Amino acid sequence: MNPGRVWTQARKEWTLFRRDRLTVALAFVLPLATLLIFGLAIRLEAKNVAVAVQDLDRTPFSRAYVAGLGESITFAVVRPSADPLAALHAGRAKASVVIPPGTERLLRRGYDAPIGVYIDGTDVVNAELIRNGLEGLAAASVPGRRPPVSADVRVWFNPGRKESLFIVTGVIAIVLGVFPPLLSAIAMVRDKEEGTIVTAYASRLTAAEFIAGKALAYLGVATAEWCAVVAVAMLVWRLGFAGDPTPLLVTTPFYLLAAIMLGLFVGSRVSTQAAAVQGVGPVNAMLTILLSGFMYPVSNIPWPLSLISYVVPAHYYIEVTRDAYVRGTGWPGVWYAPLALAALILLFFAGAWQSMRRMQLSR
Amino acid sequence: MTAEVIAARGLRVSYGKVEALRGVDLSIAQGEIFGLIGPDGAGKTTALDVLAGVLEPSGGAATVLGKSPRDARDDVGYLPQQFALFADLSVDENLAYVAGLRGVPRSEYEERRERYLRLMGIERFGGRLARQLSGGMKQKLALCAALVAAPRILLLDEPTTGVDPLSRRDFWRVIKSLAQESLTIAIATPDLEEAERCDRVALLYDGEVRRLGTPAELSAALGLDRLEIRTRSIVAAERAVAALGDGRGIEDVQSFGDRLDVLVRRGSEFDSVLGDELARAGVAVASIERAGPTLENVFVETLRELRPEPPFVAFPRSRPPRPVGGVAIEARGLVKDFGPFRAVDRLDLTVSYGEMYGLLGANGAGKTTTIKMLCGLLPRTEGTVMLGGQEHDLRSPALRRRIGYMSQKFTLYEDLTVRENLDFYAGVYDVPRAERARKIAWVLESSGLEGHGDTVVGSLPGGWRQRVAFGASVMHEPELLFLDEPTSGVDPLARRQFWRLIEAFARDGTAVLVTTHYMDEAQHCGRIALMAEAHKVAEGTPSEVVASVPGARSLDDAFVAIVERAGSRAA
Amino acid sequence: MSRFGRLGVLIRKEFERVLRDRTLVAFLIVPPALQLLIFGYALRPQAEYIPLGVVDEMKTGRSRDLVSAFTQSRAFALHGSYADAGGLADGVRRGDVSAGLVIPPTYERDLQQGRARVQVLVDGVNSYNAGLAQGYAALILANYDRTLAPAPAGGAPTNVISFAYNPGLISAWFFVPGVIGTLLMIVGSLASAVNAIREKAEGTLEQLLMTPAAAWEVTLSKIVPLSILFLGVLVLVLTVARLAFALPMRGSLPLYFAIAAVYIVGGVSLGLLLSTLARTRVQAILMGLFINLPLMMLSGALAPVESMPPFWQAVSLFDPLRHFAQVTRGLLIRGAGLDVLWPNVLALAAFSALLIVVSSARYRSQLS
Repeated sequence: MNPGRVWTQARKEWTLFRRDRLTVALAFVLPLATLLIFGLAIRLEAKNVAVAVQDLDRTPFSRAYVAGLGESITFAVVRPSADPLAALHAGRAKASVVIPPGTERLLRRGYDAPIGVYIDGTDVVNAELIRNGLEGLAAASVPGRRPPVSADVRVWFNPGRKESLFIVTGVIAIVLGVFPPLLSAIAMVRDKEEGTIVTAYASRLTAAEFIAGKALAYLGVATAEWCAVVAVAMLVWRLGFAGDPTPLLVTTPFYLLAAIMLGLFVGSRVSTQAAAVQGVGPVNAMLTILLSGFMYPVSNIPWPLSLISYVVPAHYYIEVTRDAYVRGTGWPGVWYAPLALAALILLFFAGAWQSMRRMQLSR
Repeated sequence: MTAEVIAARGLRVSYGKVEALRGVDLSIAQGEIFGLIGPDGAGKTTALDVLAGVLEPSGGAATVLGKSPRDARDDVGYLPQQFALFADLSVDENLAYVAGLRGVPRSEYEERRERYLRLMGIERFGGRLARQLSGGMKQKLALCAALVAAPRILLLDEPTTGVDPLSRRDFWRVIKSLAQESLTIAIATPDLEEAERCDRVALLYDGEVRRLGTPAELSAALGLDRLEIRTRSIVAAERAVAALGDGRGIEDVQSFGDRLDVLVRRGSEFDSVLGDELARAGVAVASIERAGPTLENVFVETLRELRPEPPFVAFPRSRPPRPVGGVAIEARGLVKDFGPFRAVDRLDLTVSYGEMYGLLGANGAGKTTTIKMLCGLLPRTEGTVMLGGQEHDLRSPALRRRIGYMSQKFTLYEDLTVRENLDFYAGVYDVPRAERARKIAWVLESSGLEGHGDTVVGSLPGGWRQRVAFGASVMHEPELLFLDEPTSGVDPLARRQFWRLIEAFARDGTAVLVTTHYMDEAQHCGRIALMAEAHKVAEGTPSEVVASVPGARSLDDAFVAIVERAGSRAA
Repeated sequence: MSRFGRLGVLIRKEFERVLRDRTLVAFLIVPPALQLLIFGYALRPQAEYIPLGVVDEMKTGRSRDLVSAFTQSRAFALHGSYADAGGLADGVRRGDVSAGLVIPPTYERDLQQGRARVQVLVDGVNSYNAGLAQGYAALILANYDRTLAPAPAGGAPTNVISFAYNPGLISAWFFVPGVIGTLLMIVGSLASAVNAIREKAEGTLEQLLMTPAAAWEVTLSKIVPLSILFLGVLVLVLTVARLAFALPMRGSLPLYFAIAAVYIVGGVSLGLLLSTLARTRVQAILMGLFINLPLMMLSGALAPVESMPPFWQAVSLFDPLRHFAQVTRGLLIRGAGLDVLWPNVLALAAFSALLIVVSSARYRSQLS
């Protein structure tokens, strides 16, 4: 590989990138906007879940029970309807609680008193949380009763259980896995589409040099993007390093390069910019968001779908960002990340090189 | 004996099922300027791509400097169609890129850059972005880029397309001087006047070389003479010549705005016969001169042999033709500003019914902007326009039904078939149902596509597409016809046939406004106006314009002189 | 020649072009079906078999009872036994376990006194999962308590829980309805934008402008054929959902399609609007992506709207995808009708109307 030619190619790419306002906006404005919107808005756990309570008992116990529901931060009591399911049906509440008449009497006589609970199963994300919450309240509502075994609960790494730590560290990875490939894919096809690639074909530039030149230039762009995104994320959500930051610093170039190579690979296989963007845009965004473990665990993804997550670069990087800012374990937990990403880099590079190998017009 | 530097033997290239080159044999000697001519799709670009080493042939062999083209890349400079420049890079950055790829050492790069930019007069524009350059400057930059690696061979693919005549002259000056430095040059060009300047010329058609030799050899091989009849009454003259009949040795008749070219067998004593016939018909003839056939004649005659000509079919009219005369289109003080940039500056023009009016000029002179303003596609900054008697509400559907428009890109829907396109346009122009079948049949017949109505437009070559597009724009019998560069990219034979169609419409009373950058075509028009840098710099019949410049022998000459004069006045 | 004749010709041309565009047709079928399948199969918020590390400093029958109470539940799976809390901490750091149970050496004695305490630890990186794990641990302990002390001083209130509409808590029934709207909007606006820009880019728009066709006719011809096509895509998508996930369709399907038609027209109009703002296909697709990504995230497709901070919940009221997701979930899963869904339908109608008006106005001004 001739470094002079690689450098010439990289310099040209960098200049072209700088001069195109659209791509510069794409590189910085969109990722930061996405970071902010996703980071601020996306949460899994609902607070103030609307619960419709029907107190048909109207005893001190039932009133205390209802009061307990109202005081909990998880729930917000709303007006019930005659039919407990009607409130759910109308979407006014996510759960309906019915305290049947004679509950307190049953309890005083030493029997277990059933309380009707209907939870909207549509929201599978919150359904079990709601159930758990209501069960907890039921257990706590019996005064003077000390459970034989009780638990002292602690939360590792994130004692305040701030969801933002989980989400934002994920968004950083997502954003850097969605936007750089778009840029590199467009850059890859543009030469072919506009005919300027003939200049390269007419010279001794090899396919590897061609790809490397583009990769080098866009690695620079992506690094700048990363700096911007991480700076904003750390400022807005007051993220701090939980432990050793080296894994993050070492793995980041691998990740950015993998994302860029992915874009170059797709770009090498299509003939129009529009096709490149359609392939790398919505499709890559979907796969990155859904199969990287951003919101829901990868371990929950059934085989064979889970195989795809092995080739989603963000899957590995998310572990690294979450480790860096939340877990703080360091290398022992994420040693495999740079290696896996390196493998992906080689895979995508090989794919791109394969279709560019001849460096001639195609027939 | 000069060395052979480029050789092709039985070169074949296929794109899938399509054969672009079917066994091409070529031999180009050192220091030669070799021209490749042929219609669109003949294979010129493909041949150059192979010689430049950017396309692998499917069969046969090509050698450049004794090596395979791929190995000879270092010594070859290639200027592809559309110039392959990076629009967002400056002149210097474009050159530095090519130099970097070619491994040109820094000192040599500086020296060559200086030399070539200066040679072409663009050394002051080093920092300007390529997309801000005019067509002529882009061409010069592309040539510099092709030369910066000091190649021994230069391959140029249609380098002067769309470039103004002044820049074209500059360009040929440079080419000739490079050839004198024993640089070998192969140039593909659709411009047959240019091809006359080459040392040798190969005519490619449908992937094969059909004619090969010096321009003089090719003209002589035709065995024909060309008689130039200058007269004001072209129509009458043409009829008179036609009356003489075919078998008398008349090979071809071509009409221009103010002269008739008759191709006759060499040695026949036709001048007097023609003169008599014309006098008998009462046609006032200014002169009859004998000259040799042009390369265009060679081209056309060759194509005639190889390709059946679509029949000239009369247009089926449902309404009687309009009487000739009376002002149809008028513009006064037309101005168009794009921000600070004035694209059209106080233009006046009138076109009458039955007149063919040509608007000429290089790309960027303001022709397309003018025609778009007249049509109402672009809002005017200043000035008034009158179309068909209407001065206001020029976008009304009623007026639009009387206007026909054919744009530069012959816009048909490429993914639909010919018939679907025609059905659509007939429907959208409210052509009465009863007539649609007849009109569509006419378009198919006069385009030579009878029976092929279900071909997808995208797979048709340029010349056919142009004819269908024209047909689509006239099915509704418009009284005003606007044609914006209707023959760009189409071969001379197709262009001639096309002008016959337009003339037929003009004779039926349609007012025709045509823009073109082909000077030779302008000859077909009754009146022309030359535009340069947003101004109208000349107007009149073609021969009037030529006569206004002493010493000019063709419209091209006249144009260059007029533009230079206008430029120096402005400076 | 009637005015509708011209409109008919225009619409026919649009249909011919769209159907002939193989990439467009593939784009209409493959990505929606694929996305639907991925959303349905891959997204699972459940926490099951959480890897548990146990530090049993007691190691008696009682303590092992407690441990099995945890490991026998589907919530936890035993992944490691450690000698002490330090070992457990290492296990967590290495990622071997995500939850921990520490039974102190005084467990047996405290139990006899009726006040045993154990430590439950959960991995807080994913706080949602941590919440679930905490909840499960509490449930398990509560059940275990009941087995230890079967005769309490008084009775205990017992929740009789049923999960309405989705008793099996099938995740696909939440995500798939949420994504249908997203698909229609993303694919719809993109296809519409690309289709409209194609005319601008290839120059046929200019040709159209010279014909007597009125601006409203051309605009309508851009909206109607694609909208009809997307109703077809909806049928495809619902079929896939039904076959792959047995998605229930409890409400009135004709009503659903009517609402969907309103929504789809809005999406197609959005694409038309994008085509007037962008100069090239690439720009249009990128703009579309930029608009659609946030719209999707705020719509409740991936995470419930109710989980978003209140400010963002309010913002999502301006998101047509949110309303359509609510309509889809409400109508298909809960079997709700117009009486319940009318606010969402009203919002959708308002958005679509706004989009149609704005996009038509801009497109028309482009045309003249």
